[in-house]
Amino acid sequence: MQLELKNVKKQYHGNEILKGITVSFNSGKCYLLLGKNGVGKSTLAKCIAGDEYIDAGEMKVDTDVQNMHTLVSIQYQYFESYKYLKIREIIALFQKITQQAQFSKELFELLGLNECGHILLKNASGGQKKSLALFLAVLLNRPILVLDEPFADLDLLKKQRLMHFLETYTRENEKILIIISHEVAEFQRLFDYTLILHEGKIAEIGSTIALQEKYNHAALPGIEGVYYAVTGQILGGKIS
Amino acid sequence: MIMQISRFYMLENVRNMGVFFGNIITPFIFVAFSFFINNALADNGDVATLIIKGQFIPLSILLLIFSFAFSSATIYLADLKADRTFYWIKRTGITYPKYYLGIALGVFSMMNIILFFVLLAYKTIVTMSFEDIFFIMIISNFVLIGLYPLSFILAGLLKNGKVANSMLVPLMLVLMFSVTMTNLFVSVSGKNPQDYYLYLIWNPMLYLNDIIQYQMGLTIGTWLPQYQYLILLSIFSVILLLIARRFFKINEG
Repeated sequence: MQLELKNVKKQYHGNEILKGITVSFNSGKCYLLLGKNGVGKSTLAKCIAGDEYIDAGEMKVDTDVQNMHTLVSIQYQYFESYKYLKIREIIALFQKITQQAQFSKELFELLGLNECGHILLKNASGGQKKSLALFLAVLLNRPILVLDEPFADLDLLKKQRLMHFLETYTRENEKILIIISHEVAEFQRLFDYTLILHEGKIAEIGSTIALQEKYNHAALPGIEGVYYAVTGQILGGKIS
Repeated sequence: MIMQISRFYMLENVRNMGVFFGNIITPFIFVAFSFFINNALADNGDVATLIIKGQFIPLSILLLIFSFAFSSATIYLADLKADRTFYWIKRTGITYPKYYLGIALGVFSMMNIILFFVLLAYKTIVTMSFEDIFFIMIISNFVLIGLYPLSFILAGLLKNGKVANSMLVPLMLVLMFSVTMTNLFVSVSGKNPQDYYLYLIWNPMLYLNDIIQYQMGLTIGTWLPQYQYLILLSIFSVILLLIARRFFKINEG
């Protein structure tokens, strides 16, 4: 499957956030969406997911489907619904109401959901809510999966195990995986392609390996170096 | 699937102890007062029966329906919107009507269970047959059907559960007291309340109150035939449902 965005534009209250995004996403690949806060990463994700309307441009997939947004599963940063249900009950509810739900025992265990299943959502920690949101996004079993800061709030071991899971999951299930993350240093292996959003446009796009070769930076190696070379900024700040 | 949604809706509402007890406590307070008055006015049983049947029973039922038709359902729906739950639900493949039906089933089940116990409690205090209980429950369900879509309209207009909660109080006062106070003051002035019902025809609580008064033997007949009340309530429901479709919008992308 291929997801194609052509000159996608989006504005809020006259402020243009996305100024013409053109990009293609292919199944079986993982894409890292990189950019500073407020640059439009989450807006782009919401447009792909269909939570926001686009003002101009086109979004399409190469399969016969009435509404392409039904093909997208998105993990929002937090899950705040069903506060008086236990985590395992929320999962059970989604399992019951989701068509072709994909219950991944591996992900369930690595996120530690078996240990916190008895906790009411209102009493769950930020990390547990994040884990639940992540699990549900995968459970929905859509061809396109968008994850917003999936590694934040998770401990180091879970982060590593999650990276391995996502790597295998994307390839074996032929998913399009789009990840928005500021944490990139330890997970470079996961990202097949990197997109850098800057001032509402795609400033750079390419295979992660090719970009690292193109922008070889001694002080800031890896994707962080690429980002610095393209934008003049470091992830999460700016070098004066 | 609908049963599961209904089950989890009820589970969530029962666990939310503050809201749950807030919904059911008032009718039971009236039951307690009825018990107290019935004993205190033992020598003047007719007066006690009149107060209980004419005021306390209708008020208990009106409050109960109000709690389940508006308070809990509106707050729940407004919170589902505020928490972006519908963004998740739309990706499951379940249709919204099915999901709403599940919630409605939960609302109706909870209301009927509590209403049955409230009426059973009143049965121990005043004379009331199981047939009366049955008819009161039937009309209560029709009133709930008539008013339930209003919770979607309110949830569509209001930002979240807290705002909904504060806005529901004046609405409840208008819907309830326009009926009960009119009845009370018109009766006190020696006139027939039913002569004034035409002015309250917009209020579904009126139909309930009128039928309860009749079932309790306080009036010789209802203002309109009971089947007409049921038709009116069904029309109410359809009209409100159409309005709700316009107001309760979720971004479909």
